[in-house]
Amino acid sequence: MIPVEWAFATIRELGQRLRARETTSLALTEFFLERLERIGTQHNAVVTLTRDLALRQARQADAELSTGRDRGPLHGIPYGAKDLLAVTGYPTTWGAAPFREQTFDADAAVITRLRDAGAVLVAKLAMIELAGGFGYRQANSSFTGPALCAWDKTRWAGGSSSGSGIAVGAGLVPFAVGSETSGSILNPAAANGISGFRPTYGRVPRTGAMALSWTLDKLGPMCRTADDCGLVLQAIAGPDEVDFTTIPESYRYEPGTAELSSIRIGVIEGCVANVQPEVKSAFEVAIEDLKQFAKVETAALPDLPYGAVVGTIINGEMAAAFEEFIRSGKVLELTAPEDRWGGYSVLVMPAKDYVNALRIRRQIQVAIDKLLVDYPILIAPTMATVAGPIDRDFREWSRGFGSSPLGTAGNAAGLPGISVSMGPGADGLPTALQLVAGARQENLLLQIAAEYQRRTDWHRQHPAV
Amino acid sequence: MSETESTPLRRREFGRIVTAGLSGTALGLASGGALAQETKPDEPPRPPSLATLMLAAVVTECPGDHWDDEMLQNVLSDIRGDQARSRQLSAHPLKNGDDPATVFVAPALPHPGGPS
Repeated sequence: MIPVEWAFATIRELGQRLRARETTSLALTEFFLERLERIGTQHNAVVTLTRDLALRQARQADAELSTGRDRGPLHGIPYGAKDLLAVTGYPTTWGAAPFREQTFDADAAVITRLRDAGAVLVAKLAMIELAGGFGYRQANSSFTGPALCAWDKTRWAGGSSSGSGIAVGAGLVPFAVGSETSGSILNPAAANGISGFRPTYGRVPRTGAMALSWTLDKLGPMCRTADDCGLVLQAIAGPDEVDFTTIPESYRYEPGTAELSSIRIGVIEGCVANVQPEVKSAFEVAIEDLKQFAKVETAALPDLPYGAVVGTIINGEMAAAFEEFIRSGKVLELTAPEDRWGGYSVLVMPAKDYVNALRIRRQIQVAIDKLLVDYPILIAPTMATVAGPIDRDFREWSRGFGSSPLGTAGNAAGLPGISVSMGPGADGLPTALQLVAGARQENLLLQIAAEYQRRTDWHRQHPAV
Repeated sequence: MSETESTPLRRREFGRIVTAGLSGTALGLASGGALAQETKPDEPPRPPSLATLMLAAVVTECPGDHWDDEMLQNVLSDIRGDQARSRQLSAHPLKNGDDPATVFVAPALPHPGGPS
């Protein structure tokens, strides 16, 4: 019998128990499958349980450990994957009704890598239909229903990696894989009080993942801690023969190697101007926590049209990626009414707009690189508010609030970022701190976030589920 | 009344536009036909807005019976939003030499007969 508190254990903690023979991968797998089935369905977090595959992989993990073969920190650890990652033998729905029967004959690269690392796939997790590219404005935008926050089922879990955020937040899996084009890992991580990591563009291969925007899409881990994110990242990162955008060098997670006292952390100027008062308070406390081990100063983000650039790039690329889907009328079968028309206008977007967005994107990269020379880490609240109500248009409940452009700028420039919980805000719901580093500086970013978590216990707090 | 950001677009009116086709010179600009915006009797006809022409292009490209008033209005609104974003990009100063951050790279493939 697995103690219920193990639902919120870290990968390292579960790994220690496996190697101490206190439990087995099979027992952990059955434990998390039961929670996914019982709790996950209440939150609309699960698309497909991969029970047969999971039990097979768990038995293999146990057999290998018993004979001395240890594949590393993920060996025998259950996990969930956002349902835009292809897994043979199961549907890959992209969260969208028109694709609910879709199957692929090869696993996504990250699924293969996690299998090779000994991890056990227990579920394909819910997501906003087509990763949110069609302009959804309310929570009911997936054929599996609105994603209900791990902490409060009357609140939205964020998107588009909604199920991944819920599943980790509610202790239904020890970790999950999500994807981010612009905000889709960090925002649900914030809403569900977990650690969500966006790697450098090209760090993790997207082979076998749904493409929304080829030059913006990233895959990344969603975990309890920054340290866990590093463990998962090491397993899934590295060059890929099919995805030519991958960084040629391999990645090794090496926590704790930088001298942090000399690191200057830049607080984005004006980043709390339009956030909830509780978010502002939590952020101010987080700054004081960071000051315990690093220098924290104010930094001005260059004034550039981040939103227009990212929006235009997404529109231009999704128009190509989904042209046939839109033309065929299949788009009309999407769940959210606004998604049914959101794809049409992009079909007539002028090419010069796309190219100009890419030209300004280059300026964004150069300008933020300059800023990162002085401030290797930039921070801001991840979201301006706690999780919003499940039944209202985003534009209603977020009116008057606005987060800093750091997230959008980081995505435009292909930079790694992480969101970690920074304590409760309004109604006791999680608030979150966003940290961004220079390209390929994942280890520094993870080290700072892990040090913050070593000095706080917000990542240890979880809902009573 | 001239066409503005908030001008509603009625399906019947728009149907005339699409039925007439997309040749602006022949249909709207010269003759004051279906594509032209409404004007006072003593004013010369004004050409339709670019947003309306783009909407006509969308409807022509993706025909179907789903184009009701609401759908047309929503897509028109999206087009206007895209145009606003376009203006924001165009307002940003760019020099001729500012190249795009494309992902294209010429692969370093081995030359036939060269070192392997």
